Amino acid sequence: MVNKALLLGFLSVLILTSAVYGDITHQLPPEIRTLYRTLMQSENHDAKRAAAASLREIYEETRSEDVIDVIIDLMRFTYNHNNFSEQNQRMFYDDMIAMRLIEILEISKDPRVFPTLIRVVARRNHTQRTIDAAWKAIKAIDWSKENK
Amino acid sequence: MKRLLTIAILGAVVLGFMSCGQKEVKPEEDKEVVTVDEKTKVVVEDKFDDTEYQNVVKVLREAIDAERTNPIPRNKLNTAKAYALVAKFFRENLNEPRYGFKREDITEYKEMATFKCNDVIRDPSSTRAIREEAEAFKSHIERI
Repeated sequence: MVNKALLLGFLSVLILTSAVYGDITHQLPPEIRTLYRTLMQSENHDAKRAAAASLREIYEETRSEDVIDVIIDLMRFTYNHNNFSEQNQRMFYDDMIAMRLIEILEISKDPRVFPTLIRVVARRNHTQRTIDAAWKAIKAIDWSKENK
Repeated sequence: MKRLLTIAILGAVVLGFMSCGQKEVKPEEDKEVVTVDEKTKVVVEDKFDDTEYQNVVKVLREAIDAERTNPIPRNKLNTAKAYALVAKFFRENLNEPRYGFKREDITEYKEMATFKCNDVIRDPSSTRAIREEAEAFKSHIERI
């Protein structure tokens, strides 16, 4: 009886966790999942910057699609502030992280990142520097079928 | 001495003709500017239907930059058309698994295009003609 209650409790925690962290975390390797959570939740800019740098290192070493999935998710839900203002310190710092994430998307040349990048240039919830980085990444996309 | 004089006169005549030629070119250059403008307009109209990737990106960038620097109703409407072109691009490549486009991507840009059209319609500086064009374009967006 106690075991069943414990199991149910554990399952509830799992369901709640997946609801909180979105539906991609359960598929992620632990290292990427930790970085994703840091980039999504941390209030510490230095920690986020370090996480973005680690994400880039992982992508450059492994070309893992998980990294791209994570960035697509972060750019849509975490680093896309409506009514963006450079005067808002948090938004400004987040924009610096967004630019680093876009640089990883540029390296990927993956067509899947096109909607994410178009959102950056069209919605203009970023600094001009980040929007320019997005245009650069858009130009770098490799649409040839032989890419993969 | 006579030869030198003849050469000098001939040179002056040639220079005169050349400078006259340059003067004649000027109006042509003016005409060319108008022609280029008209041509560009026609090309731009065509470009809003061309879903080739490079064209989509070029048209979108031109429209967004133009509206940012000069937010007149015409430029806003061109941005709406560029968003609609992006939606068409997503629709045409929806079944390509490698691109991973979703129906929500199409919906998002259709909504953005419609929002821009409404912006043009509400803009007090819009002419009647451009309002009508924006209204007509809204129907076009619905069909994407």
